[in-house]
Amino acid sequence: MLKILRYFFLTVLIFLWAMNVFRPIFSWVAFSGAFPDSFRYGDLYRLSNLPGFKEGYDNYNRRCEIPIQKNVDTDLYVIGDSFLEQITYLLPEAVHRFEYAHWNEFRDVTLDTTKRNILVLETVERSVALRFGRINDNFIVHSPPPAMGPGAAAPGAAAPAGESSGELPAGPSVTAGEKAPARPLREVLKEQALKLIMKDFDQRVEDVLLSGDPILKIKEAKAEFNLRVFDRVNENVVLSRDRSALFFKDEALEKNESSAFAPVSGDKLRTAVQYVNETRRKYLAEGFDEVYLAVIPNKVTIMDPEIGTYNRLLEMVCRHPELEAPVIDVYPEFRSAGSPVYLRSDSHWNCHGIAIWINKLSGILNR
Amino acid sequence: MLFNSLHFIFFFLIVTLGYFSLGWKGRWKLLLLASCYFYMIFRPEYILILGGTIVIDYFAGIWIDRAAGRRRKLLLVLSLVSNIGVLAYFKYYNFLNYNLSSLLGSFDLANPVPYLDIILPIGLSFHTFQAMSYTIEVYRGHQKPERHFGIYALYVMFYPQLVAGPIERPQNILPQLRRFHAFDWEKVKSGLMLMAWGMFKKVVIAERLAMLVDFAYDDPGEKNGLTLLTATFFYAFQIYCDFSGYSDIAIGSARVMGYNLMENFRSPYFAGSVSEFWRRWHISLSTWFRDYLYIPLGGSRVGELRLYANQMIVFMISGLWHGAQWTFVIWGALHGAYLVLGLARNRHFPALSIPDRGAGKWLNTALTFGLVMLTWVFFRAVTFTDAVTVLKGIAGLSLSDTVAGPLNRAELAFSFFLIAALALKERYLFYIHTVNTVRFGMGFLFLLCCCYFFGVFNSNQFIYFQF
Repeated sequence: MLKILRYFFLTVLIFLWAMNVFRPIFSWVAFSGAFPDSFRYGDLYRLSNLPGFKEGYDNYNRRCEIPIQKNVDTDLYVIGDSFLEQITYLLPEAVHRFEYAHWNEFRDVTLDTTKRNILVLETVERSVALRFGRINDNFIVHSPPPAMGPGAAAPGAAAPAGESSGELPAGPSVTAGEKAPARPLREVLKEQALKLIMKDFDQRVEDVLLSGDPILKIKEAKAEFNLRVFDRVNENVVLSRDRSALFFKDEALEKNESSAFAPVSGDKLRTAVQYVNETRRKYLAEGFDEVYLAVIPNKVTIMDPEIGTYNRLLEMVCRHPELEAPVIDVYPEFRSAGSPVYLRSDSHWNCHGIAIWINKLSGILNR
Repeated sequence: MLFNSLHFIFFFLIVTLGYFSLGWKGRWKLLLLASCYFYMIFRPEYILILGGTIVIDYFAGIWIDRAAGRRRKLLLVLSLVSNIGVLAYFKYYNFLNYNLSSLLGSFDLANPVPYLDIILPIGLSFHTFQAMSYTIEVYRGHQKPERHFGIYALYVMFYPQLVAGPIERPQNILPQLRRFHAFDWEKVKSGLMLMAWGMFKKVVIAERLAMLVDFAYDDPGEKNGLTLLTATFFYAFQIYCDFSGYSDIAIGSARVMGYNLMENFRSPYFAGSVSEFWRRWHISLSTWFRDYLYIPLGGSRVGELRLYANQMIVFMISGLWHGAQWTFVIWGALHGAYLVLGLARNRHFPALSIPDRGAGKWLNTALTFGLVMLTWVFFRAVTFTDAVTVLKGIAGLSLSDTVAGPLNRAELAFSFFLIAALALKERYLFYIHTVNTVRFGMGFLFLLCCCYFFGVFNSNQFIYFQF
């Protein structure tokens, strides 16, 4: 009996270990829906486990219903981060064709020259330097082949979100690695190994095996105890001075380079602005009609800017005299908004914040 | 792989259950494979360096045994040079180069030797010393050469003590690796309890104390005397709990499988003298230096001045073993100086000794702790200037100072409580008895719950990993 138990536990443990190490096994199990989504209550709750910052599942996951006017003569392209990724279900309602590429992916697109092609370069404030440290090339723009009429896309171009696959076939996303011409064997081997083997074993175990609701109760008890007795929260988050909001430490701790309170050098600022300009010129030359910059304020910038000495990066970028790109700037509206524009359990905006941004965008689309 | 990680829990359970499911032939293979995996989690390519030194020492051991006279000595020297060469290249190359640059710079000369971008293989000093111990023992005739390559490789790579000791001797571990260890419930219980206690020391005590220590030693010029003094006091316990916690987990995880590793700590802060402290602190390293450096230098059977010089040499090299920085050398030199002064006092001024009984015993213990604590300043400070700043800050202690830092009053009080609890446990319950299974189960669960609820979990490595 003991022997059977031993082999049973050994088999289970080896399977769990393999699942958390080997990507194909993990993908197979993950796609079966066997695990809860560890982000289901918000990214800040996931880190802090503070019950006071646990948004109800339905509230956190609900889709925002924002009335939006359709512009059939406009195609909208967005290179953005998780803020706009959060509303990719809304934006197709606003335009004829919508394309989204995350900063980490590359997409082939063919512009429809009969439409007004608008590109938005969106980033959260804390990532400005990261995103604009090079000329962006996330959209690989192709000319329409002569045989195809205006408005048609080349085979392989990505399908617009929300449209039926009949009009434009979905194209493959290619990674940065695949684009590079020739790389050392060491790098190739490393990349191949990473395709098979995953890092961050502990984080995955936390996400996959230790994020069920009963276990979250235990985690909450610990987090609450630490907050009440030791006035301490998880090292990856920062509590606002009035204890009403949580922030990522990356944006709220002065010692972090990307923080809203880290001093910004003139060179760093100018470099970012120059790369925005270069990127804009590049995409205009490739056929886009308008290129906009959208910098979403950090949560801490809006909710507790006096927690440190705010570096005003957002304003400095958006009002920089050398900046050539027009800006979709929601900072003033967010600051003066009567009700919260960010989710309680998450670093992202809520429906109110989204509505403000969509309103600004609509103004541009309707011009 | 860190002992205080979920990855290790999976690893340990799988390896241990697999171990007891196999015969001897399967066991050494499993342990070797597991040890490679354990090591490769840090930086996979460095397994090649470890593999290279294992091959060299394996053949060196066999050839030393066959050879005689000068050839035997030559083979030992070659083996030691290859081991020390790897250590020197990875650990001391840039340090020596930096000092060469400073020296040449004082004569307005440029240093033509380039700096190298080297990352120190984890635990290099530990497994190099363990490998050297083998060839020296074979040379001395105290150990027969191990002809089974897998067993020899496992002697160097045995995962519990691979990256931070205890630095084992071949006479202790090689015979155990050749033996079949039947499942022993008493050893399993004792090993698991030791592991849980080691984990408690690491995540509950060391990691909590580290928060104030890191705060104070990061820009110490900005901190007041009381904060620096408290941080230095905390550091004495942080490093003890960190390192002895690691040793406990290592010894415990080996014990679960039936292996007995050597004791590495024996309540060092209860020592009544600095020499006694070194018989209780990092025992596997201090006995290594005693057996392979101090005694070959003549030990205590030499003239007085030579004896003092030997003490200083051994402790300064011990300091350098810890890290390629002058602060470590100073740390070692201070310990050497304490010992020399102690020896001189005993020889020439015995009346100055405090009797080691009653209140005198406690006074000796307190004095020894104070002296050791001051040396930790050099061990912890990033630079010599920082260390001096800390000492100046402590010297300028004011009654109006308050402890600044990331710990609130409750956590500060809790930290002192943990230190007091640790001292009481070390004093009155050095070994946690596990014979009674129910009491073991309750105690084990209690420790695990404490680790979870009071533990500070972050990605900090064990301090001694860097050595």
